[in-house]
Amino acid sequence: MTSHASRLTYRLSRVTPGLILALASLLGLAAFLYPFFLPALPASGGSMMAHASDAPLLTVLLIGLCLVAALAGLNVQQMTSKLTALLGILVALNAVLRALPGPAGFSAIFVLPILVGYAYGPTFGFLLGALSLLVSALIGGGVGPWLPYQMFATAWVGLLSGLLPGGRTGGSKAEPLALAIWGGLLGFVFGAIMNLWFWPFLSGGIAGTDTWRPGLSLWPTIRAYLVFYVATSLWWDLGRAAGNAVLVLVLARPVLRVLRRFRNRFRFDVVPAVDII
Amino acid sequence: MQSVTSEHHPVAWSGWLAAAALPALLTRNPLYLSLVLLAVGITYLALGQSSPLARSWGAFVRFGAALWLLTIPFSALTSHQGNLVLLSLPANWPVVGGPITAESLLYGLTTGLQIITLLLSFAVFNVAVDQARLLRMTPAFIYQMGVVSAIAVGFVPQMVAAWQTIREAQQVRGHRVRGLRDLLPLIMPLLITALERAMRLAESMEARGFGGAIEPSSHWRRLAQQLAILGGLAALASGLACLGFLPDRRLLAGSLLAAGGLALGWSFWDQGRRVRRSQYRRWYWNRPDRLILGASLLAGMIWLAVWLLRADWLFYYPYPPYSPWPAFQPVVGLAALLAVAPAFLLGAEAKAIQP
Amino acid sequence: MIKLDHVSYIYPDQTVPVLADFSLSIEPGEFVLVVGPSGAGKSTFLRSLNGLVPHFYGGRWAGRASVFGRDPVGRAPRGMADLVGFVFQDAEAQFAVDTVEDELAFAMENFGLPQATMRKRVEEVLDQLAIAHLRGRRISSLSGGEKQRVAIASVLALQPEVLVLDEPTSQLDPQAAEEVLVALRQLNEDLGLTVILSEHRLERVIQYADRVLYLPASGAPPVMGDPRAILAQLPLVPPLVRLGRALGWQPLPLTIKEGRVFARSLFRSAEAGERSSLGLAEDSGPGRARGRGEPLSPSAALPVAQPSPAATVVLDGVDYSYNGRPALRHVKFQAGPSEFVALMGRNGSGKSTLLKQIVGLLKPGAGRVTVAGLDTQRAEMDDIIRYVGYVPQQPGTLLFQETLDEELSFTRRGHHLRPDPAADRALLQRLGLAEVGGRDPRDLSGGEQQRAALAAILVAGPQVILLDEPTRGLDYAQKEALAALLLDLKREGRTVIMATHDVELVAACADRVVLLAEGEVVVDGPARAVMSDSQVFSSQINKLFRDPRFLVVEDVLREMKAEG
Repeated sequence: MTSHASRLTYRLSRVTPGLILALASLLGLAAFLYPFFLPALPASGGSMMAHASDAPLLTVLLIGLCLVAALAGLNVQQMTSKLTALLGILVALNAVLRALPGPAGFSAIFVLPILVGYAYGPTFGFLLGALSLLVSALIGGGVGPWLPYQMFATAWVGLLSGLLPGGRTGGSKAEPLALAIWGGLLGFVFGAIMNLWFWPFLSGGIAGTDTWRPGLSLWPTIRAYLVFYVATSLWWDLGRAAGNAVLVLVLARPVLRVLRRFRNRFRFDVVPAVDII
Repeated sequence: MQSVTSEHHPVAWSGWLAAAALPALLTRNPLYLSLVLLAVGITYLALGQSSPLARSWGAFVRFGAALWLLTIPFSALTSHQGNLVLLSLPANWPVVGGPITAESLLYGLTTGLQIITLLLSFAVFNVAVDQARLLRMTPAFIYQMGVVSAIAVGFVPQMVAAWQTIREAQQVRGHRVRGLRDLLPLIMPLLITALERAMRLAESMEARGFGGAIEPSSHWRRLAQQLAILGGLAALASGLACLGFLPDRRLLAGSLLAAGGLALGWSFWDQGRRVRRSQYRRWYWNRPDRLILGASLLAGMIWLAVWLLRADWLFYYPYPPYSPWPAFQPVVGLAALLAVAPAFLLGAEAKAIQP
Repeated sequence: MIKLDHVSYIYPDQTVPVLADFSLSIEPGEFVLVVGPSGAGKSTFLRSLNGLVPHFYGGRWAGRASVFGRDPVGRAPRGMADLVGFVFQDAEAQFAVDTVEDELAFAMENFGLPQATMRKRVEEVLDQLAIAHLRGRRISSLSGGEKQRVAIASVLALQPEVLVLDEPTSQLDPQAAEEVLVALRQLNEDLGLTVILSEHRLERVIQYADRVLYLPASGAPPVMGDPRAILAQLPLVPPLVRLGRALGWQPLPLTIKEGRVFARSLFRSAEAGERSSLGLAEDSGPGRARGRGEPLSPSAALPVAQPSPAATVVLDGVDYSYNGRPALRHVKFQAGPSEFVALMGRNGSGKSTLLKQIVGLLKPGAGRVTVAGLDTQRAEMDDIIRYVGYVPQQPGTLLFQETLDEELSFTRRGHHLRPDPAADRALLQRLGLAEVGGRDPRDLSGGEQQRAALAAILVAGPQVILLDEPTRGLDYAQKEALAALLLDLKREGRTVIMATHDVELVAACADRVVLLAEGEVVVDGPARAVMSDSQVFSSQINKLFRDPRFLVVEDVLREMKAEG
C-alpha cells in the first residue's frame, strides 16, 4: 500500500467518528420521530395494520442500536486516563444534579452538558450527556424503556453545544447570555422529545380508518400529539427549560473559567519532550 | 416466600426482561398483556427487596398508573372512529370535537396496559439486578464507557459528602443561600474539588497501567471498523425506509436490515477482540438462573415466531371493521405465562445467603 | 537497581528546573526515605521512577533513568506499572471503583491477566496487607488507614519490585499512619520489596529507613546517606533529634528507646516513676482505661461547678446524637480569652462534633452551648459567627474565588462588613501571603492554602478561632510558621481551640489539653500534666523523660542552663 493511500486512510479514520456520530444521530432522530410518520406511510391492505403495532419494538431497538453504534464509533480511539477520569467525575456530578429535587420536579440535567460540551468539544459533551443519564438510572432512578431516549437527547445537547463557536477560548461578555438562550431553547426542545418514548404506543390509533392516503395524515398526527403535549407536559417542560436557562446564565462564567483553566493546567494532550534540556 | 440476597445472574434476568417486555412491544391484545402483567407481579412478590434499586418499584408503579390514566382520555378524545358512540362533543371543537366512542376508550385502555406492562417488567428487572453488576455487563467493544460509569458511580458518595462539608464551611463564613447566585459558593468549590480529584485519579489509573488496552491496529483496520458501522447504519436506515415506503418489497427490506445488522455486528466483534482488558468478576450460573434463561428464551422465540409468521394472532385493533373482542391463542398465552418462571424457581430452591 | 543519571526536568511553563543534574542509585531491597522541604522536588523525583514524570505532566526531560533495567521515560507509566507500584498521598482520590475487591483487580484487568491469576493474586494481596475482612466493603466506608492499605494492596496485585509512596501518611492520624508504615516495613523485610517513600513526619518512619535521600531545594543536588548522617544536616528535624544534636549525643538517637540511654544520664533527679504532682482535672465521669492499655491516674477531680465569668465558650452537659448514635455525651467544657485549648482523641471521638457545636452548625440534643453569652440553640448563625471562626480541615471546601483578595472580600460580605482593602492587605502580610494576594488560591501550595483559609476566616476578626486538623500535610517549617501565628493570635486575647492529632504542635502551643473518647471528656487539664500522664498523647521529649517539666526541647535546654 502506498504511503499516499495510507495517509488518506489516516485522515479518513480521523473523520469517520464524526460521521458515525452524525449518521447515528440522524437515524436516532428518525426513530424518535418515526411514530409521527407511521400513519402517513402507504398502506397495503391488512398487513400494514398488523405491523402498525411494530413501531414500539422497532423504535426502541433502533434507538438502542444507534446509541451503541455512536459510542462504538467513538470508542475506536483509546481514551487517556485523564479523559476517562475527568469524564467519570463530571458524569457523577451531572448524575447527582439530576437527582437533586428542584422546585416542581425540576432537574438541571442540561446545564453541565451545555457548559462542558461548549468548553471541551462535541465528543466529550456527547459522552457526558449519554453516560450521565445512564449513571443516574443506575444510582437510583432505575432503568426504564425511556433510558435510550433520555441518553440520546442529553447526548445531543452536549454534542450541539460543542459545535458552537468560541468554546475553547471564549471570554466574551455576551457568552453567558448567549449560552443561556441556547440552553433554554435546547432544554425545551430536547426535554420535549425525551418524552416521546411512549408515543409509539399512542400513535397507532390516530388515523384509524382503513383507507390511508400517503402523506396526508402527517398533520393530524402532529396535531394530536400537540394537543396531548399541551395538556400534559408543556408547562412543565417550559418551566424546566427556563430553569436550565437561568442556571446556565448564573453558572456560565465561573464554570467556564474553571473548566478552561483546568484544561490548561492539566494538559489533556500532553507530549513530553525528551532530551531537550 | 423468603427474600434471598443471592446474586441474580444479570444475563438470565436480561433474558427475562426481554421475554416480559416483548409482548408489551409486540401486541395490544389485553388478554395476553394481562397474563404477562400477572406473571410480572408474581415474580416481583417472589423477589422481595433484594437490590438497592428496589425502591424504584413504587415510582415505576405510580408512573405507569399515571400514564395509563392519561392514555385513556387521550385516545377517547382524539380518535373518533368506532360504532359504539358514548357521547358526542360539538364537531367544531378542535381535535376533540366529534363522537366519543367506546372503541376509542378501549384502545386507550389497551395502550395503557401495554405501557404499564412494559414499565413493570423494567421495574422487576431493577429489583432483581444490582447496578454494579449491570456495569460489569458492558461489552468489550465499549469497555471505556463501562469504566467511566464505574468511576462515576463510585464517586457519587464522595461528592455527596463533599457537598455537605462545603455547605457547612460556607455557612460559617456568613454565606446564606437566598437566591440562585448564592449557589455559586457551593457549586464552585464542589466543581473544583471534583476536577482536582479527577486528575489525581487519572494519575493513579495511569500508574496502574490503564490505557493502551486497545491493541494498536493499522489505519486500514480502524477505518474498516468505522466504515462498517457507517455502512451498517446506512443499510439499516434504507431497510427501514424500504419497510415503510415499499411495503411489498419485504425481501429487499429484510436483506438490507440483515446486512446492516451483520456489518454492525462484525465491527463490534472485531473491536471487542482487540481489547486486551480482562474481567475479574464472573457470575456463576446457578440452576435457577439457567432455568430462568431457558424459559425466557423459549418465550422469546415463541413471540418472535408468532410475530414473523402469524402476525394476525397478535393483532388487536378495536376499531371497525375489526372486532373489539380480543382473540386468544393458547400458544401465545403460554408464552406470556412463561414470564412467571422465576417466581417458582426462586421459591423452590433455598439458596445460601452470600456474604 | 535504580539509577538516575544526570537527570534534569522542568515542568511545562516553568523556567527553573526542579531536578537539575540529579544522579543517584538505589540498591534493590532498600528502604529509602525521601525528605526535604515542600517544593524541593520530592514528588517529582518519585514520579520519575515510574514515568509519570514526564509522561503525565509534560515538560522537558533530559538524562537517563533506569529502574531494574527498564527506562521509565521510554516505557511510559503503562510499561512500568508491573515493576513500580505507586501510592499517592490522597487516599480518597486514588480509587476507580467503590468496592475493595474490584479495586484490587483494577490494575490486573488493565493488563489483561486471566481470571484465575487475578483471583489468586487478590487473595494473596488481601492476606499480605491483612485486609481480608474488608473485601466486600465499600471503599467510601473505610477509615483513612484502611484506605491506604487497600491502595497499597491494589498496586501490589501486579507484583512489583518497587513500591514508591508519595507522603502516604500525611493525611492520616497517628494510629492509621502506624498501620500503614508497619505494613510497609513488613513488605520490605518479608518480601524484599524496595520501598521508597517521602514523608514529612520523620519521627514516624526514620527508624525503618536503610538510607535517607535529602533534597535540599528545587534544583539543588541530592544528598544521600545513612539516616543519622543526614539527620545531622537537616535544618528541621523531630524534637528528639534536635535535642540530640544540641546536646551532641552520638550516635544520634532515632527512637525513644535509643534516646532513653542518653536521657537517663542527663538529669539524675528525673528518674522514671518519680513524677511531680500537678493535679489533673478529670471529668466527673468514671475513670476507665483508654487507648492502648493506657491507665489514667485517678487524681482528685477539680470541681467544674460554675463557668467562670470570663469564659467565652461554655458547654454545659451537652448531649448530641447523630443517626441514633451518641456523638457527644454529657460534655462539660469551657474556654476563655487568651487560652489555647487542644482537643485530642481518636478519630470518631467527637472532636469535630464538639467544634461544630461551638460554632452553631450543630445544636445540642440536651444541655447548652454558650458562646460569648449567646445560646447557640436560640441565637442566629449570623450572630454566632461574629464571635466564632471555624477553619475546616480541607481548605479546598472554602476557597473558590479567582483571587485571594476576593476570598477575603467574600467573607466580609457574608458578615455584612464594609470592604477594607487596607486591612485585608495587612492581614495577608501578617500571614505571609502578601505576594499571592492576586493569585488563584487553588494554585497555592498546601501550606499557603491552609493559611489562605485561615485568612479568609480571620478577616472577620473572630474572638474564638476553631481549627480542625490544621497541620495535615504540612512540613516542619510550615508547621512552625502556623504555630507562631496561632500563638500570636492567642496573645492578642483570642481563644484558640484546635482539634488535632499532632502531639508536637500541642506540646509547643497549647495551654490546655482536652481528651475525648466516644463523645465523653476523659481528661481536661493543663497541657503539661495531661501529656506527661499519657502514653499515647505525649510529645517525644516527654516520652523521653517522663517528666511534666519537659514537653519541648526548649524546656530541656532551659533546665540544663539553669543547672549550670
